[in-house]
Amino acid sequence: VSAAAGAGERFEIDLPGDPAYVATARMFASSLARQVGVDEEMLDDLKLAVSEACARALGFGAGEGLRVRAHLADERLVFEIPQGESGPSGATADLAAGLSLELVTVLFDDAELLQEDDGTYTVRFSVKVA
Amino acid sequence: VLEIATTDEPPGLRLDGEVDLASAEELSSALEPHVRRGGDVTLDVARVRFMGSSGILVLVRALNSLEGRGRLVLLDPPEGIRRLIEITGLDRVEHLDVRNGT
Repeated sequence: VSAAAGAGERFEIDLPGDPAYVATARMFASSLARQVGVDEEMLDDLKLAVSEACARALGFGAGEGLRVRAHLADERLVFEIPQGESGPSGATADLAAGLSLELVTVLFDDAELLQEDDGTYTVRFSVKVA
Repeated sequence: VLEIATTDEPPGLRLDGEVDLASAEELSSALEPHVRRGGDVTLDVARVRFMGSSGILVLVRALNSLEGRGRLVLLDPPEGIRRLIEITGLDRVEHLDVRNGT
């Protein structure tokens, strides 16, 4: 984890694919956000969204590991949580995963489940840096 | 990490910690005898620092198992949980009450 914040700066944490580490992912996201100047009032929503995206990733590809990426762009902190092979159809097929994605979408207007060039999926959303 | 204590008055559980994917199963098991017995089940959540959708699903399943034989009462939810309950629509579900104890 690198710390000095500037435009284009990238941050990343890799964790075991184990539910016990979702709390670590939440802490990573909230402490990073606090450090780069995200409004304190956003931190609860951010922790919830990161947690849900991680839970969704684990629900499908458990064991492959958890990754949370973030970068600064246009005065926003952009979070990306890889979802492996689990696209939109997988989400609706599973109640828990569907609810997780729904929550992220409700919490952050720009939240999306996007497909990468290699065919895998990523949950992405961003929060304003004050 | 979630600590779960059984309370007799009112009958239910007192939670301390985080309810997420890692602790949802444990909460579900702790709720099971209360739900089986029926009657109102009170969850003191004042000390729950985080709850995610896996916690919400445990509550919904408990309500389903209760089948109207009692109410599920969430006691003193902190702001974050109150918000989660609202955005998931759980606050509009039948047989679920949110109460402030003090």
